[in-house]
Amino acid sequence: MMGSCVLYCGIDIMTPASIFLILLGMYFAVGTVIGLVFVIIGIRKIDPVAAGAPLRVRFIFLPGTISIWPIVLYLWRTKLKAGSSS
Amino acid sequence: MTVSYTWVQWNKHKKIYDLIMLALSLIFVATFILTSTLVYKDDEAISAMILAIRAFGILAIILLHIILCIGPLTRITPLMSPILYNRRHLGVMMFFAALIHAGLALLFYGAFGVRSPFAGLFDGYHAYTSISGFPFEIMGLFALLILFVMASTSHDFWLAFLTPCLWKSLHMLVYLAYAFVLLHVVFGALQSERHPALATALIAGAVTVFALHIVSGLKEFKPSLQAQEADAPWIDIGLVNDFPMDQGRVVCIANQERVAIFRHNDGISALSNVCAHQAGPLGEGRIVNGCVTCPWHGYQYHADNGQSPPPYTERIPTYELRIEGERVLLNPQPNPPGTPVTPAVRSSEPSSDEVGET
Repeated sequence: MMGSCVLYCGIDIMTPASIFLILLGMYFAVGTVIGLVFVIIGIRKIDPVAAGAPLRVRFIFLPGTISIWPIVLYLWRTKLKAGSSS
Repeated sequence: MTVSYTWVQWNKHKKIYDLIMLALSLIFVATFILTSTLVYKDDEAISAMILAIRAFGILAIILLHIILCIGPLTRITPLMSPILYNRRHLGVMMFFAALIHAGLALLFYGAFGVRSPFAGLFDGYHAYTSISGFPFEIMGLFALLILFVMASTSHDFWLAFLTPCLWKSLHMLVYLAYAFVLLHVVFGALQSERHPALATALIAGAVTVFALHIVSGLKEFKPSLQAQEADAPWIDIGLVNDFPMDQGRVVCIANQERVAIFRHNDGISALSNVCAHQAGPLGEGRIVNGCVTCPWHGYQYHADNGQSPPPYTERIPTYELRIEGERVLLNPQPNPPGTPVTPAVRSSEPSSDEVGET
């Protein structure tokens, strides 16, 4: 322990536990940004069924995008490439 | 069976199912809190908040056990198929029960202090090298994170986007979540609980889940011992009367996907046993409203072409069948998904050539 410097949301930033929590928070923050772009714009270009759904319905996909955003990014890119090549 | 997405893809049956499960869950929580309040009085009295934390925790564990048992139970007996229907909604309900449990615990034990309640999860009074002081909350957090991934990707959109194979693999993480839940209870509640009821229930639950998976696995293994040669031109799969009317039957072919056989009206049809939705066992389903209906989630296909009724677009492979005398013969080579095949009907002039050995 490196003293009691409270630097992030009341968590001592120097402990492994706090580093894990900060990384978890960053993961969800990045996921939220990607998720918003995905459900508002991206999803319409890769899923014709979702493209026809209103935005309020597409927001149900936001938590899922936040939770697995690296997989979403990979598949999003793959499907876009497949769509443009065909 | 998706033509458009909605927030929750309810139908009448799913609404009834969800309402029953929700009502039972709330009755359980209320009964648990009331009973505990009546049993533990005076010096032993437990605060309503702690009782609520325990009630929702136990509810989540009970629902998790039910969810884990539904699959193997359905494979053991088709009578359990109705509870398999809508299992995903049960999973989301279980996640919310676990989330309420975690949220209440975090508020009750960690809120309103100088330090973040999240910080207390990992450090503070915990001792990572001791059993009684091990931070069991972390196990619960890991389980909750996995359950969040599963609940948040339970919509049909995710099934289509991730593909059934990846979606299924992702959702197999429920077993990892279950392991974390067991550790959460063993290092947590069991360390302070003196009454053997909790430990007994936990062991009984784990043994039940394990045993049901073993039994259903053995049941699945048995038919493949009777697998027949795939390169035979036509395979004898039994007598016409071996196939019950409007009920599916699974036929195993060596080194190939299983085939689902359905007898409907005067004809017999053969389809792939693998549902296009979540690879459910179509041969364990039956004919409903003239369509082959998957026992898992109710996806439907026409028996004579493997196509879902319009406006749905799912398609599965079909197989050629013919009847000679009373014997049903199957061509083991699958047709492309959605290929129309005339149902086999009894022939008046049976012949026995080209029949593969049984």
